[in-house]
Amino acid sequence: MLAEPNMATQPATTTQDAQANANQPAFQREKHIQYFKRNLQMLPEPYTSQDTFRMTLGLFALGGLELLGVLEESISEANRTAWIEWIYSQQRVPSKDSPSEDDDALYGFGGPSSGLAFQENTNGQQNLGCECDSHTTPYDTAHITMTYTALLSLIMLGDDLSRVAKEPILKSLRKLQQPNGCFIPCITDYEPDMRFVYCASAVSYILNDWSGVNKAALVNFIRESQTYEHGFAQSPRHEAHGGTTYCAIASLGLMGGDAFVDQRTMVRKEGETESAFEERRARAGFVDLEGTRRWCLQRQTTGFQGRTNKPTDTCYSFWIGGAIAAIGSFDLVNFECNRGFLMETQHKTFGGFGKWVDTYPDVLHSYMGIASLGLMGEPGVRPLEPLLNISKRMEERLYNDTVFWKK
Amino acid sequence: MAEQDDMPFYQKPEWADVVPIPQDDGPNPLVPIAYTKEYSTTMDYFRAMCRAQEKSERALDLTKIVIELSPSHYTVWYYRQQLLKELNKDLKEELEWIEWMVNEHPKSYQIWHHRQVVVGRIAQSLLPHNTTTTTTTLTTAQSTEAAFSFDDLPEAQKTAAQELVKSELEFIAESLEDDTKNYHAWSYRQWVLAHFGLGPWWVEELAYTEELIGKDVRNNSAWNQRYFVVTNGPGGLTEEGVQREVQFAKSNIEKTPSNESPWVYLTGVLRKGNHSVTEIKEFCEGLLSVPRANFSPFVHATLLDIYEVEAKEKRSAASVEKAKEEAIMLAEKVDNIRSKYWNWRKTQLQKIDVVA
Repeated sequence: MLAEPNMATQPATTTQDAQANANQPAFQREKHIQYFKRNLQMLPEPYTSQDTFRMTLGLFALGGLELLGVLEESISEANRTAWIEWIYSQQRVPSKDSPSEDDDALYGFGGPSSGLAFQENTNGQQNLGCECDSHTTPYDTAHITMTYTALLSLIMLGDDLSRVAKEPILKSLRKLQQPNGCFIPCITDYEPDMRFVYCASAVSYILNDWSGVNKAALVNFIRESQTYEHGFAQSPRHEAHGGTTYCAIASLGLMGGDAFVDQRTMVRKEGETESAFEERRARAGFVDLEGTRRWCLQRQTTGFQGRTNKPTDTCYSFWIGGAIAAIGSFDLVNFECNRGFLMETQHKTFGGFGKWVDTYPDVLHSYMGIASLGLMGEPGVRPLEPLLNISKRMEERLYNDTVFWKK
Repeated sequence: MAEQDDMPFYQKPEWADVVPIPQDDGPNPLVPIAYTKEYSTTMDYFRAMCRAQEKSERALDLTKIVIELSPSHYTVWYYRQQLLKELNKDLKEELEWIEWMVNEHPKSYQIWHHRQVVVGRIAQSLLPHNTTTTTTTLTTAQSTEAAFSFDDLPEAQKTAAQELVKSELEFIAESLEDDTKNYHAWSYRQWVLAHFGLGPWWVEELAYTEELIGKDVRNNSAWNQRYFVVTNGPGGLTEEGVQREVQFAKSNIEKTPSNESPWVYLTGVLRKGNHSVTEIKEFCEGLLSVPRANFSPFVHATLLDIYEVEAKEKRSAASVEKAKEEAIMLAEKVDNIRSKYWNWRKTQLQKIDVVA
């Protein structure tokens, strides 16, 4: 189970808060439901530029409806099972005929744009995904972000993950991890950064198996990426940033144990040798947790900004808010100002949320807007589990109904 | 190579032999996108090129078309990089195209990374033993920390490498003029300096950060770059460096006392140089009598930190009281959006062990 920080997820119950909320624009819950439903059915043409990342867009649309408490009633049984098949069809698995230890293929989930044939259930045989063999090219590669979002999407759709090929995914994670502990996303994109550290951590957590990840190197990379501002950057020495701060802190939270510890306030335990203490210090993910708490809280101006002296943006109410929740300080956030900002970035006509006021909505900002309200206990939104960025209800489903966790 | 005619490439005779591969999205896909016919047909041909792993000029042209339609496509850039190599293309021309693309899509991770790959290759070609670093097994990634060594380079190659670095820094600076805080531009700038070695460019880069801070004292990216420069230069951050940077930060605080960037830079430098924050107590207390600065949340937050440290070090009840006053000032007057946090800080002060 995830370490339970004392997050305030109760609805705003004080008279002051309720009064403040009443003075803000209304939460357009129905409009958002319609927004996600429309996008779930079909994404408009401008999303073409994000074509290979469709799996992430699917998760935002499904997740948005789930957080609003209407997912099951919004999807027909036919669509539910068909979409599960679609997701599994994106899984790249080793060929049964020639399972090679040295092959170059990257396993896990990818996108449909590579041209691999859609796998159907045939003759009672279950669709287990596309087998990688000598005809597979690097351009058919799986991608770590698609693996992570596919797993969560399957859970949303009520699948038990029994067709997920765990070992090949873990083998691929090992291939993607860099000597400095960071991760690249796939074999055709050698960009290492904190976003993929989070994807690797989330995948490992969902599969309940960290053998694909060198945790020590991972924690080291995360710790080295803290800046003099105490936020976390994309890589060491870069600027502290809200998105990567969330990725770093949530990864430490998912790892738990010795990783979710503050070096600055560590003390030697009774009976612990100096060298054992130093080793334990090296496994700690935070350099200065108090500084990190301060940096995160300092990002709030109305909603939240992603970096010092930058404008606010809807999604940082989640990235920074979620990071603050992960370190157990969400009760220190100014709910009224945060909610007020989010109410303003709702799109009055289309529903959904844009990044700023009077901006077109997109599914990412819409999901993040709803998730941020979930952190604050907004009525009509399910309480959010910040480390996986899904509802607590979906978190329970992971533990109780999926094969890698259930007893 | 811009085509002026309107005929889609796939209708031209040189593409007639290619059998396009449609996307197989199954009978009921999740979040289908309303593609234009032009896009889906273009991708049908792209899939055919990928399946065949064709290495040709037409494949190269097609990668450009796909990239312009879908810059975040996660395999097309790699394919283009393979083609540039196989076809032995002029990488300087490629840099010109990337410059154009960066102006169109400044926030694309992939475009900046592609530039890094191309520049890395140009640099590689200048080294005496031109060994290939990209392997065919695809199992090892290029290290982004590999240092380029100028040692033992013949004069011509050394000059060429220096010119390369200079032109990259100029390119990034130009791009930053449009968006002074572009995260990708700054990350790439750090890669260039780290890859080729900050040493020869240390003085210039320090001056560059000073220039940008002079233009916009709230540019936190420039402050972050300055920290990178002063802590990674030859010899690292010396005591002389600490004093110089403390002065620099203080003078900018005096200009804009409510600007977070120089404050967090100042305390960061002090910490890095193993100095206590209490050393700037006089400076902070002095600002209390400056009308503009008196309401700066950062003056009071820093004083709170200072008095808290003093309280712990000297076990002083008087320091605890001064710290509490700052916390109250912050919670009630100068930073009340964070009142819950400052009140929490106040309760933490009660826990300090003091001599009565």
